[in-house]
Order: sequence, then structure tokens, then C-alpha cells
Amino acid sequence: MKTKYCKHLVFCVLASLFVAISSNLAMAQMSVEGVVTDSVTAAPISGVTVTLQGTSTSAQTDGQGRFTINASTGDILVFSYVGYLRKAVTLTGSSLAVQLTPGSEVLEEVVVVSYGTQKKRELTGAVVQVDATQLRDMPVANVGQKLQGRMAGVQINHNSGTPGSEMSFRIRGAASIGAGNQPLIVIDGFPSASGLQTLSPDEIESISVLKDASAAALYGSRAANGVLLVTTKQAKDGQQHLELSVNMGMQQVPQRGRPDLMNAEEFAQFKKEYYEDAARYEGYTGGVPEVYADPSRYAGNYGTDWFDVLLRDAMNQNYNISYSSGTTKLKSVFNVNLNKQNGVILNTSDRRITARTNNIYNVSDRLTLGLNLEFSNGYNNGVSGLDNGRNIIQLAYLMDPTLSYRNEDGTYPVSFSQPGMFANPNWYLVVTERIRKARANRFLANSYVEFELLEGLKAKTSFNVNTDNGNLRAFNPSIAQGGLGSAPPQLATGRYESSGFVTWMSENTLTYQRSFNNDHNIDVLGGYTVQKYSRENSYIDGREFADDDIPWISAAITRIGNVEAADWSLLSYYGRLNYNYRGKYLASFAFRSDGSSKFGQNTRFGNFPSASLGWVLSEEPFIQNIRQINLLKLRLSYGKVGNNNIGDYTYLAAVNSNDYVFGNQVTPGKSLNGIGNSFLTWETTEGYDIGLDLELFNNRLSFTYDYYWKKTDGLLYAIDIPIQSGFSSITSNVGRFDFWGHEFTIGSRNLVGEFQWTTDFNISFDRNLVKKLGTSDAPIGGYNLYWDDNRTAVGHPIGLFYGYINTGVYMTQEEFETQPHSSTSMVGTARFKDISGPDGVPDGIIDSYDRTFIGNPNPTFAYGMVNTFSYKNFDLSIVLAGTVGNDIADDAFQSTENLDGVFNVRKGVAGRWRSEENPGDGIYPRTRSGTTEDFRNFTTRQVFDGSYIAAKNITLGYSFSPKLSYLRSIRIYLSAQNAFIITNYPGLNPEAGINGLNGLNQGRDFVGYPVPRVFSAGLHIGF
Amino acid sequence: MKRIAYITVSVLTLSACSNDFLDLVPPTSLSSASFYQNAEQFDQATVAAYTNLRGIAFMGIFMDEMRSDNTFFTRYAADRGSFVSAEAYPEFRDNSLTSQSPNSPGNRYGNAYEGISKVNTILSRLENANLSAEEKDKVTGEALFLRAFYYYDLVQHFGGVPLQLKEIVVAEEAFIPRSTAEEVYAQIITDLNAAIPLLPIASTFPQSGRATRGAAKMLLAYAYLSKPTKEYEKATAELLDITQMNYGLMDDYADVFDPVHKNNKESIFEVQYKQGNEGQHSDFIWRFIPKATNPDFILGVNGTNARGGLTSGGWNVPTQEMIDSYETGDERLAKSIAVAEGSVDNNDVMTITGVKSPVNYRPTPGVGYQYFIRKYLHPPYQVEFNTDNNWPVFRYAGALLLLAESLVAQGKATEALPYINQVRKRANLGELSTVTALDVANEMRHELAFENHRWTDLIRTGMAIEAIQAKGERLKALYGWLLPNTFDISEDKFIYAIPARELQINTNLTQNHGY
Repeated sequence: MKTKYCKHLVFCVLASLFVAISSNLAMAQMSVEGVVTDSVTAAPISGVTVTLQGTSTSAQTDGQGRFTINASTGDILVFSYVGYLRKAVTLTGSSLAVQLTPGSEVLEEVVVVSYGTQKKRELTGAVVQVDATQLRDMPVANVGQKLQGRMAGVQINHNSGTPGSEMSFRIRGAASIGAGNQPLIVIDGFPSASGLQTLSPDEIESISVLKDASAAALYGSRAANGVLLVTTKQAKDGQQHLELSVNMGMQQVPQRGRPDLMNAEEFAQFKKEYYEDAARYEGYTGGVPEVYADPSRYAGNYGTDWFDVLLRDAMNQNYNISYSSGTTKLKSVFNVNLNKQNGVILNTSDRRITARTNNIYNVSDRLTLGLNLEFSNGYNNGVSGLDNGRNIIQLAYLMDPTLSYRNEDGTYPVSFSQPGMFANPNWYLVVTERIRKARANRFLANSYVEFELLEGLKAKTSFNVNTDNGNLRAFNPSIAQGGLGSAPPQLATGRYESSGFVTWMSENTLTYQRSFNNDHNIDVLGGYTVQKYSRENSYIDGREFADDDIPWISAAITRIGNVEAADWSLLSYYGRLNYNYRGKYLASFAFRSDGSSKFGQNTRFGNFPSASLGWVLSEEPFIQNIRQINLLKLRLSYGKVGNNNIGDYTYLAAVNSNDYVFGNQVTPGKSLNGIGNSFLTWETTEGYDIGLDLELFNNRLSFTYDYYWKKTDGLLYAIDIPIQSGFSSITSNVGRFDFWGHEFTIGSRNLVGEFQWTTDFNISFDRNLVKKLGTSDAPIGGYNLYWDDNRTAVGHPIGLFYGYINTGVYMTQEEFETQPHSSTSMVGTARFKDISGPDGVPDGIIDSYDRTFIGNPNPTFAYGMVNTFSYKNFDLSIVLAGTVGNDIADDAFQSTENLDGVFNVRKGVAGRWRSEENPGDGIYPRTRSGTTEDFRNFTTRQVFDGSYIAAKNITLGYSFSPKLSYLRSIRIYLSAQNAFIITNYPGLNPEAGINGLNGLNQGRDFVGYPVPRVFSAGLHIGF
Repeated sequence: MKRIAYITVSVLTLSACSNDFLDLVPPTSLSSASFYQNAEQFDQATVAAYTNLRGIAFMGIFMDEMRSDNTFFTRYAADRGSFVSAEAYPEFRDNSLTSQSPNSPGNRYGNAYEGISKVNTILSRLENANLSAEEKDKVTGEALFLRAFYYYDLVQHFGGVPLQLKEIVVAEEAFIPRSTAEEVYAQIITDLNAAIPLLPIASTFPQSGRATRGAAKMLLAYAYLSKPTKEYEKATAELLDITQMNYGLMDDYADVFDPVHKNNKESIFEVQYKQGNEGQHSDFIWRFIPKATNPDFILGVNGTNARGGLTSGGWNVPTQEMIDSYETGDERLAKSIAVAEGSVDNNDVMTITGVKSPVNYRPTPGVGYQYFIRKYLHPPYQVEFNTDNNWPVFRYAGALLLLAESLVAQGKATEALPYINQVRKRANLGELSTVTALDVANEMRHELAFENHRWTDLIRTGMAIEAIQAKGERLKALYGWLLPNTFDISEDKFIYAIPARELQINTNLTQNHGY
């Protein structure tokens, strides 16, 4: 392997030698001047790139839309600018006026791809790009929220409304079992580790998503889940802008979807009847407890809405200042952003300050230096145990509504213990008194030196660093300690954590671009990259605090801590050849070889090839005659990519401490934590893509279609193995998933002229099938009765819901006696469908053999639609997104339909079975002790259609055209984020997910932090 | 410029060339590649193989003691959640899901196999290790004893189980089918006969707590008496050997369980614990006292055991019949059991106001009471759920009674008398002049009460069905909430269900009859 590293040395020495060679072919040309304006508003457009076709000569328009370029008569000048249709003009004189037509789906755009940019017209892979101009004015802190609904095949979910939380992404249904399905995030060419939350959306110029294997293959072993290329803003030549923007919003939790639980009177009535039935059927003699004996005393009084107690209307604010200046020698951007979001749950907030400067120094015609620096400081205030799961939010709303969280004298009770219910803390105090403060300082730097060795041949070496250092302080005071069944006061606990990582990457590339006779165009890339990542985490737990006075672990009598460290390294070689013949026949070949420390010695290097072809039919004579067709292109690609997210040393069986006591002394013991696997390697995803791009009617209508098929093989995951091995799983490369799908994107400029209307619509149909799992095809998940809802099994789509089919209630003794029942069934208890038995046929007994597939969390299709309207100075945009055909499992039902009288319950419980004379509505069974568990196990009652359509954002803006020379623009707008959701799903958030968009556990709503609706107003001033 | 580029590139490259950039090992822990090299590491591996004994001690509370006629539990009305699978054992409602549920003691199956896997790895790696014969013998003796112990636990509770005897290097090796109970017993006997000559005889007290020859012989005797075809003579011989070792009864029954006297001369084998921050503590007594708002009344430190689930009190509660079954004057009653008095709320959570002796206890009118095990009560404790008590596995008193049982079964009741009377004498009971199998069983019930022996003793002595049916009738009369189909005992219920997960993953396995 050492020879491999050292090849690089030779390569670089050669590259350095090229530096010595130089040539300069200057030609005498005339100076051409011109001005570029908007064809609709006639306003000058600044920042338009003017290129002399077939050369690298280019210029940009200034603030007045003017440009100067050296060219000769007969040359073709190409004008391009984001948001406008590209235009080519043949030069006839020394000055010209050009009008550009606005348009959002412009095929002539340049698209950011792996290691560079490419004309969209010449793309052969499946790449979709969204530019910042399309994303303005949305009052969100994470750019992921802005991307929802905009890209076919890119599913982005808002699983949790926790301030500062990341979104989950899933590209083309990507699913891995053990290795995650989040795409690789590359910021300015650097696969950094801090995530999108580090960046302020205001710094972002564009986001490209590489969807197919051919487009992503240059990211090799990390590209299987797709790649997100984030490009930050750079200054434009000849421009000088100062921009200020302010946004303020108010967040609220919508009423729709809140748990439909009993009020005080209803609950007291339920509890009263519970005890009456216990007396009648179970020989209970304790009588109805006094607090429930007379429900009418709560009449007309809703009681405490424990969900509402935790909520508040919360502000969010965003301030951004940016200054950019572009001269021929230096292009520089400076951006400072402050984002503050208070959470809609008490005592939660997130604040982020980011400062970024991007600089490009043109030292000479041949030498360019670049430096991007970003510093980001985050401060997150949260509450331990708030999000997803049977946590504070759920435990609070399961409380007895007859209780009050605040005493009449304004003090707060510390705990509650109602008859037949868990002793509980006062959740209001838990949320408001717990401390959990996390601070993070993140630093991201990209630097490079680019030298043009010969015309078209460039050497670039870059060095990138990303560090992230954080600490977390948590303290649970004695009055806010405890949880379900363990009421405070209890001893306070505290924790102090610190964590940090550094990752650096050194990258060296050579590129060669050349056009031969204007017919043969080639673009070659070769490169070598090393990346290393190291992290260290430590914590100290403090226990036995004397009191709550000092909320730091320094006050704890006992402090126990630990430290952990890990690292990984990656060493890669790659190359790419793009070729096109007259822009008509396109071909691209790419290859990457990755060596990773994460895998066994036997399987350390992996190769990831790809090839793609394109044919621009509209350049062919037989299509050129059809005037309606502006572009018709066919694409075909094949590629192979990998996924290496399996932990750092998984191939090794680690030796863990496993101490015991001998002679009354702790004696060190050690044992293996698993079965090692020296053949462990990446999982590979291999697939092809067939695509079609079509532009019609003078580019008024655009259409893109892709069909993809891919298989993920050698799935990395912890295969369930018999516990008789001593271990429950082994991480291995066994398993195969197949994926395929259709994606359609339609862009239409419905109305042009004074009143403009554009519609962008995308829809994707993603399918998957499990082909193989582990050594014995043992299914994954669905083994336990509670909260183990998904089962991934061979021959089925990934992560189906697996449980019992609820068929109602045994209404009469006769029904009970004549129908299959379980070991705890009796008349009045829940009834289930007898699916099977130990011999594979229904056996009249309801037991674990009767669980079956009861729902599919994979959508039939997902879609998004963006409509923008503008009239004079007004503009309006509406972003809709949704899915159809997916099921959601509402894990809250396990608790809100608990009939043991221990929690508040859904209103429907009032209609339960009480006797054969009073059998209720046949939905809810009796409360007989010992029989209720079957009903709340995972059944069809907890599975719902999750189809929805949501208005992600509606923004109405007005732009002033100021008459002041120093004031370029003023824009004000009103915006509604998550304006409405239309769905039959009874829960709050149809995008909820206990584990993000993880295919194995998808579609499970387990009381996440609510996602608020946000109304905001903003102001943007440009100087 | 050229120079700078050259230097930059070279520096970056050389750093990659100068060390093996991709060979990274965990900086904060050892890995399998560097372990199992020397005697010290083999000893550390052996130490780790003992830790699964703790799981067995804990699970035995639910699966060996509460399933028997000795104890039941106090039902907590406020939590009917997933831990009811622990309630399923004493109510005989358990199935293949309860025996796998992560919150229940049912993962006993996996716990024993985890211990077996540690032992198998030790034995497989030892073959090629560079250790002296003496060092190898020491490791082998302890390892074989532990493997026999874990297989004995499995065969008693699950019947014939798969016999895994080598370190598993590839997953396929873990898919073997079940062996018969006879085959498992044969392996246990083979392992113990190999271990016995390698193990030391306990000679100084307190002992360290490691496996000894006495412990191996005791286990071997149990195996001979529990296997489908019992071998009384062989069991008797092993037990007689134990009487020739250095063991003896402690003078005071209560001292046997006192942490001050850990690993005393009466101890043949016990599970070791130590209170403190190292994670080596026990917490049994916190689960045995009533769920209370003020556990400090009994334990000296407050904490919350008044909640649902296994981390609460109210488990392993002696039944009234158990208390009534003690002979008059048996000192062990007051030393094994106590009564907590106080107010009891709707959820059966107590506020304790007094602790009394169960001897001739008459409830105070208007005051609630609950029995609890006091054998393991040695307050004051410093931290909640953190105690110093070891768990007894084999005691010399138990060896004497097992010897008596074996002799009586062979028709040698007279020979059994001195052994049983030795135990009775310490309990301040009169000597017997004749002894029956029932006498021995009753003596064993009280001597080894709450030490997780009663359920398997009932099965071994053929008294289980009768005892459980009687217990069921008594409890159903007392508790209306018990479902009609509880305590439905048959011979099928002598062993537990193989966990459902295992049957689904290893399709070579078959379920026990009746599940």
C-alpha cells in the first residue's frame, strides 16, 4: 500500500514541474462594450457572465448592466445569469444591447457537479440544482427546510421541531440498515462533518443534489446515499453590494392533530367507572377514590390541558449583513448572520452566529488563490428527555386533567400521585427547571491554489479543515428529577460533556479542458485526496448533590466520568473524462479508488467506476426543424458507489471492561464485545439511470424524466444471529435491497409579461424490495410487542408495519367462546384476527404467530409544487409538498388507549365495553385487569394513512424601486411557513419519525417536538 | 510560487508516506488482535466470564423463587406495562415472548449463552497460547466449571439446548440445533469431571469467591440428581467428599448472609458484589421491601422504589402460607422474613411506620402490613439501589440437605439423619429420629428460602404440580384480579419457552412442548 501513497509524490512533483512551463498566446482584438437588461422590466442586470464562445475569455456586467470584452466581429458572445435564459449573440459591431428573458428552469445554466461545474445542457448524470434566489424569504434556520418539495426524488422530512435540529434527507429512497441513509454533505468541495445546521441559509449560493451513481461516483465510498453539494456565495466581478436583511416571526403549534384526550369531567367519569367495574368483576373493595367519586364537580371545567401547559408562542429572528466586492484582482464576500429561534416548548431555544468570508485572489492570469473561512457559534438551550419517545411531552399529556400544574397561591406542586396512576413529577417544573445548555464552536476553512500550467491545463491543490468543539452542561434539580413512576424530590443529577472533532482534507487535482476544431471537447480530471477525522468525547456525571443551589457538577459529592476517542482516515485516487462531440454526443467516465481505515485489512480498498452517455437530439437536423422543440436530450448512465458509515472500528472485535469482584476487591475483567470480521467492507450501490430532458415552446415548458434502478449489495449491518453465539448480532456485508423509481419534473412559465406565473412541479415514484438478509434471511425488527413496529423481511418492501389485526371486541360470551382468543381474552376484551399458528395455519389461538404485515410506510409517490406569481412590484410564491399512499404508526396510541386507568385516554374510551347489556361501540374493550395489554400492543388501530399535502411556505413580497443612487433595492415580505396541512392522519406531524427517514424504522410518530407554524415579516435592503 | 506549491504538496504527501495512514486502532480500548496473549489477560477474560452469574441470580428471583410456592408479588395498580411479563412467571402466563422481552428476566437464556461464549473463547484461544501448563490448568478449571454452571442453568430452565462448545468465528457456527437434555447433562458432567482435579479446595476463609473444587462437586451432585435418569450413588459420593473439605455451618443463621461474613466457611459458591461507584453493587433488598414512599425507614437511605417495573419494590413477597409453614421455634423465620407496617394507598404503596417480626404476628387493626424478605437486609446503605450483599448459590447447609435427600431417596434414611439434624440444630429445632423425603424437602424449603432453589427443588422432588395448584387456589381467593387461567400448571411448565426471537432467527430450533 505504501507504493500507492508514494505514487502521489511522483504525481505532485510532475505537477510542480509544469509550473515552470508557461506560454502565452495573446491575440489582438477589439474592445466590445454593451449593456444587458431584463426583457420584462427593462432594468439593468448586474453579474451576467459574458463569455466568448469556445474560449475561456469572459466578463461580467457591473451594477448598471454594462460590460466590456475583447472580441472580434463574427465571434459569438454568450450571456448567462442565474434566473435568466441563456442567450448567444453573434457580434456585428463594437457595441450591443442585449435583453435577457427571466426563467427559472434554464437548461443553459451551469450546474455544480463533483469536482467542478458543468453546463446543464451537457450533463449526463441525474443532478438537480436549486439556487438561492429560489429560496429567499423563508424564515427558517436550516436550509433543508427551504428545499422541501423542490426536487424530484429528494425526500426531506421535518421530523422534529426542536430548535437547532437537523432535517432528514433521503435521496431516491436510499436505505441502508446499519450504515444510515443521510447523503454526503459537501460544502465548497469539502465533505465536512459539521452538517448543514452550521451554515446560515443566507450564505448559500446553490445546492446541487447528485442523485444517480454516475453523478456521485467521484465521491466513491461515501456516495451511496447521494451527495449534496453546497456552494457558498462568492463576489461577482465588478460588483459592490451591501445587503441587509431582517426577518422576525412568530411560531405557534397548530390545533390540528393535538391528542384528543378526555377533559377533567370525562376522565373522572372514566376512573369512577373503572373502579365500579373492578368492584363488579374483580372483587375490588376499596370503593371509588374520593377525587373521582363525583365527576360532576368538574363539570364545565376543562381541567388542565397538559400539552398546552408546555407550549408557548415563540419568536424567531434572523439578521444578516453581507458585503461583496469584486475586482479583477480580488473578489471578496463578507457575511454575518444572527439567527435566534425560541422553541414553542418552554425553556428551549437555539441561537447561531455565523461569520463567513470568501475570497478569491487573482494573483496573475494563471495563478488564483482562494480562501473561504467560516466561524459559527451555536448555543442551544434544551430540556433533557423532551423529544421523540415516551418522553416529557407525552408523559405530560397523559396526566390526569383534574390536576393543576400550579397551586392557587402561585406556587407549583412538585409531584402528583393520583389513585391508580403513576406517581409523577410536575412536568411543567421538569421542563422549566431542567438545565441543558449546549455550546458549539465550529470552524470551516477551504483554501486552494490553482495554477494554469498550459492553456486549459490547471493544477489545483486545496487544504480544508473543519473543527467542531462543544460542551454541554446539564442539571436536573431535585424538584425536576424523576419521571414516570418516580416522583420528585429525588437527588439532583448533573452532567458535563465536552466533545470535539477535527477533520482535514488535502486534495490535489489536475484538470485539462480543450476543444479540438470546435468539434471534440474534452475535459479531464485526475486527483488524489487524503482525509482524516479524529474525535474525542468526555463526560463527567455528578451525583449526590447536597441541594439545588449550584447547578454545576462541582457541587456533586460523587463525580464519575469517562473519555472516548476515535478516528478514521480515507485515501483516494480518482479521475474523470468528459467528452462531447459538437455538444451533441456526450460521454463521461469517472473512477474513484478509496482506501478506508474503517474496514478489515483484507478489504480495505474499493473501486467505484461510472459511465454515462448523452445524446442531444435537438441538435440533429431532423429535430432542429421542429420549432417547438428547444431541447431534447437523452441520458443513460451506469455507476457504482459505496457506503462506509459503520462506525470506526467495527471490523475489530473490541475488548471491553467487564469487571467482577474477588476477595471483596474489584478485579479487572475483559471480554470481547462481538465477533470480529476482517472481511468487513463497504456496501455497494450499483445502478443505472435513463433520463430525458425536453424544452418546448421557446423554453416556456420544460420537462425532465428519469427512471432509475439500483441495488444495494453487501449491506453493512448488524445481522441478527442466534443468541446462542453469545452475541445478538454480527456486523457483516450480507443483504441486498433493490430500488427503482420514476421521477418527473415539469417547469412551466404559464404567463409571461406584466403578470407572470410560473409553476414547477415534481413527482417521484420510489419503490424498493428486500432481496436478501443475513445468513438465514432472518427479518429485521418486529420481535418485541412494544414499539418495535417495523419489520424488514425478504420479499417485501423495507420497514413494513408488523402487528396484529384488531377486529373489535368480543361483545358477548358466545362471541368469545366461538372465536379464537389469546391467553388473557375474555368477554369484552379486544379481538384479533387468527392469521397462523406453529404449523403455519390458523390454530384458534391468538399469539405471536398472528402478527402480520399491517401497513406500508413507503409512499406510493411524493410530490412538490412551487407556484410563483408576480405583478408589477408584487410577488407571491406558494410551495406545496406531500406524499400519497404511505402509512404512519402512531406509537402514542399505545399509551392514549391504555385502559388500566393509569393515563388520560382518548375520548372514545368512554364508549368501551362494560357488560353484555352495555357493550359500547365495539371499538374499545373492557378495563378488566390483566386483559388490557393485547389491545395496546401494536395493531391495526395504530396504523393510519399518512398521505398529506402541506403548504410549506407562502410568501408575499413587494419590491420598491428606490430613486436613490446609493439604494439599490428595498423589499418587504410576509411569509407563512407550514401554513397548513391537509391530511387524514390524526397526529400532529405527518413527517414525524422516531429515527428520521431511516428506512428500517420509518413512519413512526412517537410524540416528537411539535413543528410550529410560523408567520413572519421581513425586510431586505440592498445598497 | 512553484516552490510553495512543491513544499506544500510534499509535506502533505510525506506525512501520508511516513506512516501507515489507514491502519488505525481504537485509541481508548484494546482489540481482539492484541488480547488473549498472556496469563494475566487470560485471567481477565476468566474474571469477565463470572459476571453472567449476576444475571442468573437476578433472574432467579422471578423464575425460580416467585414461580414457586414461597413468594408472590405486590401488584402495582398504576403500572400494568411491559414488566407484567415478570408477573407472568409467577402467574404461569409466560410464553415465548415473555421469555425474550428485554424488560423481563426472560433474557436468562441469552445471559447464560453470553457466559458460555466467553468461556468457549478462553478455551479455544488457550489451545495455542504461550502459557505454562500450570497457568493453563488454572484457567481451564475455572472456565470448565463456569461452562457447566451456565449449561446447568439452561438445561434446568429450557430443557435440551444447543451445545456450543467452541469460539464462534463465523456466524454460521451459531445456527446449530438443540441437543437433548441427556446430552447437555452429559456435557456438564464431562466438564465438571475435567474441572474438579484442576480446581483448588477452599482452605482459608473468607474465600476469594472464585470457583473451587467444592463448588464443582456440589454442581455435579445437583446435575446427577436433576438429570432425567438420576444417579443417586454418584451424587452421594460427591456430596460426601464435600463433607470432608473444610466447610462448616456458621453458628448464627443470620451471619451467613451478612456482607461482613462474605465467602465464609459455610459458603461453597456465591455471586460476588461490592457496593460503590464501580458498578459492582447489588440491589436485591430494594426490590424485596414493599413499594414505599419512605424506604429509608428500612434501608437508612431514601430512594424511589415506589414505581412500576423491575426497578421497584414489592417483588418476591413471602406468601402467608410460607410464613405459616415454619415450625414453631424455627429461628430462621424471623431471620428470613419481616413485616412492614404502615398506611397503604390505592396503589398498594406503603408509608412505613414500623417493622415487626413475623413470629406470631397479628395485624394491628387499621394498620396495613406487607411481608418482606429480610435475609439480605443489612442497612444502612449509602446510595439507593446500591448494596454490598452477595447472593448465595451453594451453601454447606444446602450440601448437607442435598446429601440427606439423596440418601433418603436410596432408602438410607438413617444415614441421612445426622446431616439433616445438623441443619435443624442450628435453626434451634429438635432433632428428628426418622426422616422422610417430605421432611428433607421442608427443611430445604426453610433453610434455603429465597435463595432461588425452591422451584427447581419442587420439580426435582416431584412436588411442583401439587404445590402450585394449592398456591393458585389460595391466591385466587385472595386476589380477584387474577385471571381465571392463571396457575394453569402442567409438566410442560417445568421448563420455559425458548424465546420467540431465537426460533425466528435459527430455524433449526424447535419450541418446547406446550408453548
